[in-house]
Amino acid sequence: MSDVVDAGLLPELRSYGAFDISACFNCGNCSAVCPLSDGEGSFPRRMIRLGQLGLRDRLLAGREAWLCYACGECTATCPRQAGPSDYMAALRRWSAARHEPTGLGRLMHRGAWGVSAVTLGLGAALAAALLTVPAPPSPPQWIFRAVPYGAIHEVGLAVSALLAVSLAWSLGRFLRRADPGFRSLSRPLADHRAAAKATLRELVQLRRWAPAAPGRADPGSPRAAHMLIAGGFMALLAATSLDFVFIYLLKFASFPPARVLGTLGGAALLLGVSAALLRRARAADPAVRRSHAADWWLLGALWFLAVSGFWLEADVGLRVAGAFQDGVLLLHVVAALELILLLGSGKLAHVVYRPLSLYLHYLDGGSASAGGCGGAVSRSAP
Amino acid sequence: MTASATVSASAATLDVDVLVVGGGIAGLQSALEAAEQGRKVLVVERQPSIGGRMINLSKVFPTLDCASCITTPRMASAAHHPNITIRTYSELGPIRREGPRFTSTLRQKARYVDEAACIGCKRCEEACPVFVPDEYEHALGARKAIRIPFTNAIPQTAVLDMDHCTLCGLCAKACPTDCIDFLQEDAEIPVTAGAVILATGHELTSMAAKPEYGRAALPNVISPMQAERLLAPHGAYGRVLRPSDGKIPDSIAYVQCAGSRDASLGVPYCSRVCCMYAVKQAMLLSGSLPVADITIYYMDIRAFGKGYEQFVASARAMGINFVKAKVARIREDADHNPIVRIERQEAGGTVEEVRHDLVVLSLGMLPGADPEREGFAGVLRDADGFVRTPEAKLSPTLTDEPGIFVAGTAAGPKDIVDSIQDAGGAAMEALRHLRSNGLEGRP
Repeated sequence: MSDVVDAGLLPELRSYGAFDISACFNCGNCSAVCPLSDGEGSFPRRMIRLGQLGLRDRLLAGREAWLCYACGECTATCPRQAGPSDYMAALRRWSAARHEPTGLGRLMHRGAWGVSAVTLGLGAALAAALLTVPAPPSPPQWIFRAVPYGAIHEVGLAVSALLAVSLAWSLGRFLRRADPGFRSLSRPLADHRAAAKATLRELVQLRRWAPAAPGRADPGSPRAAHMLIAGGFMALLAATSLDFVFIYLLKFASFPPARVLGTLGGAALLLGVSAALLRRARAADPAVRRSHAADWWLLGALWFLAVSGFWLEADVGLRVAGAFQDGVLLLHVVAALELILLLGSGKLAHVVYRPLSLYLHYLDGGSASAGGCGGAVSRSAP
Repeated sequence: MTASATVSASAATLDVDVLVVGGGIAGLQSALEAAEQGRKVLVVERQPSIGGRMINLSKVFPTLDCASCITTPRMASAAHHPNITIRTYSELGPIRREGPRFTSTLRQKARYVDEAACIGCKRCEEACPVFVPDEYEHALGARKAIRIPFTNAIPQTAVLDMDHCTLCGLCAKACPTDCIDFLQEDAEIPVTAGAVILATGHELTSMAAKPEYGRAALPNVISPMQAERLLAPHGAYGRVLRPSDGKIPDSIAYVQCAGSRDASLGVPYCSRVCCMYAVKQAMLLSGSLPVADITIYYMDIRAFGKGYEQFVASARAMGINFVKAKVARIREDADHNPIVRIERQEAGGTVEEVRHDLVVLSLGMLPGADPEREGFAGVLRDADGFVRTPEAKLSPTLTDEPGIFVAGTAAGPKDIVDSIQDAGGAAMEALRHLRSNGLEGRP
């Protein structure tokens, strides 16, 4: 790895949301206060230092940004109020944008105009595709009169295929840049099994999420919100897949379990996203002191998706139809497809990078506990 | 006039050339400088004794002079100077400009002791059955409800703490001069002066300011002033013991910047003296406890004055550990041993927890008085809360009000050397102000 000093790196990172990071004077408070720092290594200070020194390759090689839970302790206690937590968030946006091939991620983080340009441009293209793609005849459901049922699935498949290609590309780059990256993958199978188990458990339970520090707001609610959002997502993914299999492929007239699962998932998503939006709007705790336009975009899109989904449910239930309902359906589908298409480039990218980073972390023997120092307390100082 | 004018004395106006607000080392130095030039000076001190922070210290850097030994003579010179009047246990009201002069009202708090009659024999203190945490020892020891404030206090006049007094009357029975007066009341005395010197000093930042440092609830995490009293030859215990169990500490740590250079506490500035007093205390500790490990956790060492860099170098040579790290958290184990959590920046950047027996938080300086809230005429407060000095570079003792000057830590964090120099400058400015405004020929 060559160490090329890139003076433009820090301004670049600032544009991804690390607004105050130039104030950092490297005292190391953030690393020491971080519940995730343990005997094996430290962050965020190391990552900030790499950014300040302009060591782009080393920064991209680290997986620390994806291990961070954005609990905000470092930002709350930073003597310079340099926002280390904001920096870690910026690092995630920047890394995702650097790994993905389309360039949409970089555009998304140009601020409000970039977000709008991507949203509107992609939206228009997707809407055009949905309305024009030749689709097989739809089941006789009136809600799909403007946007044919078949078209949704055809375009959906195409979008998923695009995403798969883009993700494969991004993850390949991530692993190639990561240190140790590919080398870790050659460990014995038992290590892989243990790492997979630890990763899965952490993903479901979020056990390393910072426990409430005395005197600080209980970070329990964002953790719960995240669980609701992630759970809702999983349920919606399962429901959509079931729908696809049973109704589209096996030609069932209806499949109630998918419907129930989808409704529950939608409710969880709506609840979680509303809580997250409220927290961000209040900017109450240090982790969300400052928000990037892309943060609002993701939460806004999710919220719109959930609300419009329930609106359509109600339309179906009450048998209301009209141009307005057609519009809602079109926007609902466009928003869903945009989210899928941008999964690898925006904030949602952590859905792939975090599990992979956690996996590599455990594969290299990383600690699974929170708050400790590998359990060791040394006596006095040598 | 002498330091021990009677309290009951009438509301006759105290009319002086220079009013000095604060009887710490800066205030006393200003008063002595002006008095030596033949000006009449009034020193108003809130505490029952003059001497301020300096008299409370063990030794001073970089000379390692005994603080008592060099402060007490200054206190005595001021107290015995024919041109200096000292009012202790007194608070000054707002200062108003009236024509070319300043007026104010001084509220002399009731000591419940006739100051003129008290001979400082301490019989009352011996008789008193009430023990109260001693402010002078920063709660490491106890005092009585009636007492002489501390051994070398000036004036050596008893003061009764009515909040804790049980009115048992034992002190009154013990007093050989019958000077205890339970019915004494505060007295208000008008003051006029041609010039004013603000020497209102500083407070220390709170032990509880940083929640990560145990919210002042960990018994073996102490303040630097407590450490001074542990080290002072006539201090609370006369030796270095840790508060929770009286054990002699084997491992002591200093946490630098525990109250300064921290925007999350609203104290972004450097308090200047903390590096030096920590190094000084570390040296004194290694003298008292030759086998103890002493560690200073620092962000960077700021040894700014004459001879200070050499002082730090000798501390390093003495074997004091300097560890570059900002302490992020302090917790304690079951035996009340404090455990600090740090990133070892110079050893691979690993995060570590280190157990010590005693931890001292190097607290920073906050302003002792807010000139705007106190109503000190047109004196303004700076962004950092200290007295604003509009010509900070070339006339650092000038305030926004002509005729009112500032000395010592009232204007910002400073060590004793700089405070003394400041005090001389402020006295000179005050005398020049008197002369150029025709205020010298006082009646």
